[in-house]
Amino acid sequence: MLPPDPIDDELTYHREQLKQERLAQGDSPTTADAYARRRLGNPLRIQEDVRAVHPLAALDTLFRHVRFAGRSFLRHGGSYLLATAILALGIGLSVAMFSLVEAVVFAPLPYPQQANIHLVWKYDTQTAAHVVGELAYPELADLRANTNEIAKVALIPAALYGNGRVLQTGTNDPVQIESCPTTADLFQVLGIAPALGRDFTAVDEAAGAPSVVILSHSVWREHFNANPQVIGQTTRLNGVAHTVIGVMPPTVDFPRGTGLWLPLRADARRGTTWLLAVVRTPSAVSPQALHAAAERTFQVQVADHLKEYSRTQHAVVTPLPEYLTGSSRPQLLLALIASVLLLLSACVSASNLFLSRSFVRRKEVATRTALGASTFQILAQFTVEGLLAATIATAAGSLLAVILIRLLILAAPADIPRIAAAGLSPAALAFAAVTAFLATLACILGPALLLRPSHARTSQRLQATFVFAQTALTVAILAVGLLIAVSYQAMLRTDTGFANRETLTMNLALRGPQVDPASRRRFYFDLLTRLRAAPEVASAAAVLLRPFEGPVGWDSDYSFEFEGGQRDPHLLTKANFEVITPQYFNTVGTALLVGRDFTENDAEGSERVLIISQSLAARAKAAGYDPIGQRLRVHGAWRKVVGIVADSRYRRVVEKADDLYVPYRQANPPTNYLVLRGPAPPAELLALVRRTLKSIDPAQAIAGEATLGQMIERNTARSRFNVWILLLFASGALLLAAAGIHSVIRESVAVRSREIAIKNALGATRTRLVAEAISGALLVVVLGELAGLAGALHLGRGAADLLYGVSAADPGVLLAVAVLVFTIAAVASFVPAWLASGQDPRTGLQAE
Amino acid sequence: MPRPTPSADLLQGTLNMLILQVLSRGKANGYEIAKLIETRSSEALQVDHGSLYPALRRLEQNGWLTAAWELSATNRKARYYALTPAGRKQVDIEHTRWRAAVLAVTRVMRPA
Repeated sequence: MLPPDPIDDELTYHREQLKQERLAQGDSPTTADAYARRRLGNPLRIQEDVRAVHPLAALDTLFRHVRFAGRSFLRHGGSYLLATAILALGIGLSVAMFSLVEAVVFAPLPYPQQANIHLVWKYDTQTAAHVVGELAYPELADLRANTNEIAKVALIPAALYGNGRVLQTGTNDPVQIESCPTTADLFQVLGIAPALGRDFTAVDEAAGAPSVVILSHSVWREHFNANPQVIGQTTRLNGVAHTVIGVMPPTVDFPRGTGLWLPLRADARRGTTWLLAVVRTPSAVSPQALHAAAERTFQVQVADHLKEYSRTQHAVVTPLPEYLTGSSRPQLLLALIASVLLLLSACVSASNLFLSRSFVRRKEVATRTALGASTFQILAQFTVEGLLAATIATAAGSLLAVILIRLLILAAPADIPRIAAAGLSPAALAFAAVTAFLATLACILGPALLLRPSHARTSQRLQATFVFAQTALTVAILAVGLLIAVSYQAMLRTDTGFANRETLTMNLALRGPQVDPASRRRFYFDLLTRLRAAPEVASAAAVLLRPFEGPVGWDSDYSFEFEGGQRDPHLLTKANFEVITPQYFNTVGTALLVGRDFTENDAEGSERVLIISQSLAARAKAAGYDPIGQRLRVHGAWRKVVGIVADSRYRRVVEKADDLYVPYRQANPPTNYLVLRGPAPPAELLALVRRTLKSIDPAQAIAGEATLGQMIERNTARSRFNVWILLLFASGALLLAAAGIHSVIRESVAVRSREIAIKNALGATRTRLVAEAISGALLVVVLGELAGLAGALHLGRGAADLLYGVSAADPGVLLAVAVLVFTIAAVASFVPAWLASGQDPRTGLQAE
Repeated sequence: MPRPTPSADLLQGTLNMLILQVLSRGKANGYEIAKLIETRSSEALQVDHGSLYPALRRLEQNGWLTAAWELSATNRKARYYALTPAGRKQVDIEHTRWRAAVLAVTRVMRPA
């Protein structure tokens, strides 16, 4: 603020002198006063001009605008505060969502030239489901032959589970640590050298080479006290001595969750498919070129190795960031779109509120214009008011975003990578700045349009546009939210085939140099016998891979004997393969429909047997055979079907598959997971398992204990998170839309109160008055709904992967949304119209 | 709102000069300055009293004037403006400039 200018006193003196002059000439005091005022001119204008002379005048003007805006905020407080709060909420939600998306999806990975890193795997068009097709070790050489397209390539397991190593340091209890066997070039593909020690070399892969290990930064910190002398030390993994050759920097977390990297030993078998290729291309090579090269390689494989490969196999190339974010990407993007729609809706609301306020203030504007304020000055005033509101809203919104980000991270399912790193990054702040700009525009637009000569009609048209836009946005958000919610409900209702949700499951993969199939069978028989004898346990069993452990499993080829003759050798039929102990079905709650469960008598020497799922049985029946007693070829051996169990879902709640079960005494693949349930709660069962395990083999460790219910929960957690977010946004949008149309109708009846009063006095019925007042707006609502539904359909189709048990065009959902939004709009507009039409005509006529 | 009359507009640029000239005879307040210009020009020049003050502020900022509250002849408090040494120099500059301008205009306006 500038020092006060003496201009007022000067002008008073000047005016007095002019008056005196006229009085001396004999004028009346009134005439003299009028003369003096006329002669001197508009004091406000002079004040303005005098102030404008000052070098700091521009700043001063701004300051006065802000002060005026502040005063006008206080005077018209309610509406402006509401508009600012709505904006802050919209900004807060969208900035928070943006920060999450930025951290998970957009933030660059720590790997140099990450755009050149890709995952290469296979997709079999025949299996149709989302199966991650895997590679075998010899395919490394096949891929390497593409020297033009592939600079470096390494193989990693498609899934880490099953590769854990038991680490025992000092006197601590043994712990299972996620481990990644890999070929030598992995870290060269990633472009990161170890922080300590050396990288793998091809020599480490050779059979009989000394066992070596590279530690992750966190394992080095937690289990080796961050000892820099660790390189060259020997540590025991699965009871075998390994030399520590390197420690990776903390930035490297690939594959996600890896604690130890070990050399992947060469294996010539092409049938052992459990790997993915990680590839670094030369800079000039496009992903398309890489895809073409991989596709060529895989087609050559079919020609060269008839038995191992299917003609329907195709190459899939996934960019590294996409592989890491996986399915959380579309979900987060959808939530971000919804939050931006909500932000737009908030901007529309704020603009609407500012417009109606300025409508109320048009008298003030008229007065100020009469007092000499130019259009530019008034516009400047509105701009400053809008800026003030937008600035407060942005600041408050950013603060809200910081809190929301923390809350969202807490609420988010654990398997969304990098989400914990989310915060108000520079990119998020830039996003906030854009939203602030939008918000400012929203605040200025309405009032500014009122300065135009035909403002009454402009503002009506503008308000209709607002109602239209807001309805469309609301319908779009609500419809998508509802589709996701219906999908989630469908997931919850899905019969996974596991009735005993309280059954405790855990990883108990036996580790150690002495472990072989025979000793494993003895161990499990011993453990299960002891557990079953305990009073806490109702039933216990073991399985190769527990339900919902991950998207990758032991998918095996199979063929029915009766199909044998006709089968195209290039078309492989695959099913989920499980190795189980007796009592497994009883423990997890999968119904045995026909035939019998396995017993301990289904042993090595006896007839090879098999239990199949209902869907597989249906296939045999469709071909005209009774499945029981049929023979199936699995893993190269013929087995007789002795039982049929209900269908279960092992990979994902939303994914069906056929299942094959083999008794543990007749299979080489290990049983790696223990399942048990009992009258005792899971915590007691866990303690019992720990005690029993210690007495049998204290060198073994259990990991990943969870009940089946928790496993199912985790599998659907992302959808639940998404439903929460989307429904939160949708209810926000609904509220804004209701408030929006309510205020539009309230104003239109206020402006037309005289007209309504006259009609009322002339005998118009209340129903007719209400209908007149709201029919126009409701027509706009219907149009907005149509636009919104079109948008929702589009959005839903784009997010089809996230829908389950419902289609984007589900008429029930879309109709429900349309009816709900229309009903709310109708009620929101009916109330003010009904109140206005019921007024005493006299009140309305005397109002102005 | 009516803007200044055309005659005052014409004088817009010369108002500063007139103020300085009036003040070169001694200090005066705003009203007196306006009146002095009007009487000296035999009422030919009508000063827009309102535009006097922004002009005064401008001159003050250039360091040509100082202002102080004093008692007027009618024994009332008025703000009196006086030339500074820089202001006196400016009066000479304005004189030269004015004479040159008048000469130029006279030459142009001389009957052919």
